[in-house]
Amino acid sequence: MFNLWTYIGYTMLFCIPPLILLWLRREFFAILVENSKTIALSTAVLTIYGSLIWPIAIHYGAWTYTEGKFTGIKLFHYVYIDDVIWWLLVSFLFSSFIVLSAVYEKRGEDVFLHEVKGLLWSFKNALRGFKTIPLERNSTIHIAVAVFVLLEAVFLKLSPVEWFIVLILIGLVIALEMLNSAIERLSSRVNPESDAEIRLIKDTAAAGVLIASGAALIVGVKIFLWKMIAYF
Amino acid sequence: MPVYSLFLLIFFAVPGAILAMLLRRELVNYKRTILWCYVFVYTAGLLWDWLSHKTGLWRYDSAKVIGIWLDGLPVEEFVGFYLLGTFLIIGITLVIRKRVKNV
Repeated sequence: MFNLWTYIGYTMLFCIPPLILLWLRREFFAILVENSKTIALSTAVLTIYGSLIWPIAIHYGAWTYTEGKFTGIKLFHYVYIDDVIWWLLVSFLFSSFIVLSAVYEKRGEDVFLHEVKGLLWSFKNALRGFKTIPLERNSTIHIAVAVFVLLEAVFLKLSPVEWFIVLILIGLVIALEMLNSAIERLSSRVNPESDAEIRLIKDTAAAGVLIASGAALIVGVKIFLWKMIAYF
Repeated sequence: MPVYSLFLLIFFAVPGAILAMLLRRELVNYKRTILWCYVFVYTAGLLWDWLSHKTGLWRYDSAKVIGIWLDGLPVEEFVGFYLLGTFLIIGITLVIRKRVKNV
């Protein structure tokens, strides 16, 4: 019943993630709660209306469901429970978005563009973060090693699974190294003097990079060394 | 007989027209909301419908539709179900929003 390729599976797949996007944000949540009466009433009206008309369409053969892809359970011996869930989630999703968007529109804003702009701004900031790589010795070493590994991977014709593992490990080590750099810079800024607690924080972050690098080295040796031996 | 078209006409187009009349002055104030609803329906909604059809969740009887198909989906789906169905949801929500505020 809850498999991906079933009626309820699709309904959950396409409705629940956008509902989380709408309801989990504190900014949106406040507006949605304020208008919860409208959302609840719209959802109820649409679900009841849809549940009343859908069996008519099915009865006259406008479309038919495939056996095994839906529950087949009827509510009040009239409407399939899958249809009721579809109407419930779709109505709830749309009424939530409509109410939210209407509130923003009244303020002269576009909720979707507002979100897209925020997302682009975050990307811009993240891209600016790459500027720190040339400033750190360890970061440049990791980049150089990553390029070396990638070239080796091309020459030694790694399998898709090996490529997948190599890319994950490179990404993990570089991401941790950048986080480590950020913690180091922040710590130095907060407390430029020597402080035992700050030192412990910096050492812990550095240890995290060391663990990831060690794991990457072991996996790298396992993947590359045997291939190189076989090559020569 | 185009059962699907008749169904959409009776249960989506007629209430849609009534809602449009009720909201005729306000609809212009919500043009961006309406636009984004249609953008989502014609992108994510279409993908959902197409995947459901391709994985055999539901099927359409060629004798019960007009007969114009777009990759296995009847044209009624694009014109009737997406266009009118979305408008029905928008209309009902906006009408209720208007009424609930006055309570």
